[in-house]
Amino acid sequence: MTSKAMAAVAHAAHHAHGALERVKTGVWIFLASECIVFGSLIGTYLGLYGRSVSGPTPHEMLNVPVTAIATFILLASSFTMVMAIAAIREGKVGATQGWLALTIVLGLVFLGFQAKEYMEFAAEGLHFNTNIFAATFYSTTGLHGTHVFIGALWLLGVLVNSLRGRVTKENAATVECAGLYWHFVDMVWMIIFPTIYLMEFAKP
Amino acid sequence: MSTELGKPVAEAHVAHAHAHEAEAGPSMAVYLLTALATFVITAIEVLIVNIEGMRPILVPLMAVNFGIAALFYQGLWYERVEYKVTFAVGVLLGVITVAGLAAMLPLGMGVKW
Repeated sequence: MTSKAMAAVAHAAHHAHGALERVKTGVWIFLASECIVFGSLIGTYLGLYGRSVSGPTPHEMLNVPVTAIATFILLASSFTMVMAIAAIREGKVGATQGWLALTIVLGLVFLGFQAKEYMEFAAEGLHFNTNIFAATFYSTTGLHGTHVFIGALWLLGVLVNSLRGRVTKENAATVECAGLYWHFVDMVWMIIFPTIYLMEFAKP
Repeated sequence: MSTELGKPVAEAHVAHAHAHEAEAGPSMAVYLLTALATFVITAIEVLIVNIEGMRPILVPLMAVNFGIAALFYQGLWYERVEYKVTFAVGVLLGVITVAGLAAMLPLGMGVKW
């Protein structure tokens, strides 16, 4: 390769690198703003806690053991996500695809637990407009579930791109950006689960 | 001519190598320890629910869990200071929002559904 061609390649790589850096900056700013969104929902749940005049109450409805299993599944998905990132940094495309697929499956299993919980609650008469607990509970966990779903779609997009040969060691940041979002969704659940489920049953 | 063009190429390579060094991120051992820590902390949270007087412990435990995941899963520990500050400001505003709403909503509340 001539020096001129090498310079052109280095220039192109520099541009691609700069574009990915800008995306990463955007993701961090977005995640910072998301802290306020979830903060407003959790704050509203806490501020209106115990204000329902009619049942069912959280104590009657919430199932800690089942939700704990879903929580550990989501935690496991964060580990599979970092394995995908570690694999693409080493240029192991096949391993990256496997870890990404596993992360998506774990995310969907978590959503399955949430869907089952919602159906059980609805069957017992707890709908969005039943009382304050229902409104704040469904708003908070529903928005989180939506984020998990969007995260799964994002990872699916990365996986499809990877299968088409567009995700390589050189643009590992595409996997890292999706990972930042996925970990954030996991971290938000680390706050929601103790706040809504565990605080309800914990002894003061 | 070749030497003139070769110099920027070499500089670009050095800059690229430095950038990769900064982006190296957490090692596999760090990822494993982080996974272990988040699993153990969450298990402790679930297990202490039935123990008398343990409710106040839940708040620091969830904060530690959140912090560990941010620093080592998201790799904030290894990131540029701009990203650290951006996310820290977001978290701080989130905490202020939680505290503000939790404290103010019960005030003057006649709302009963």
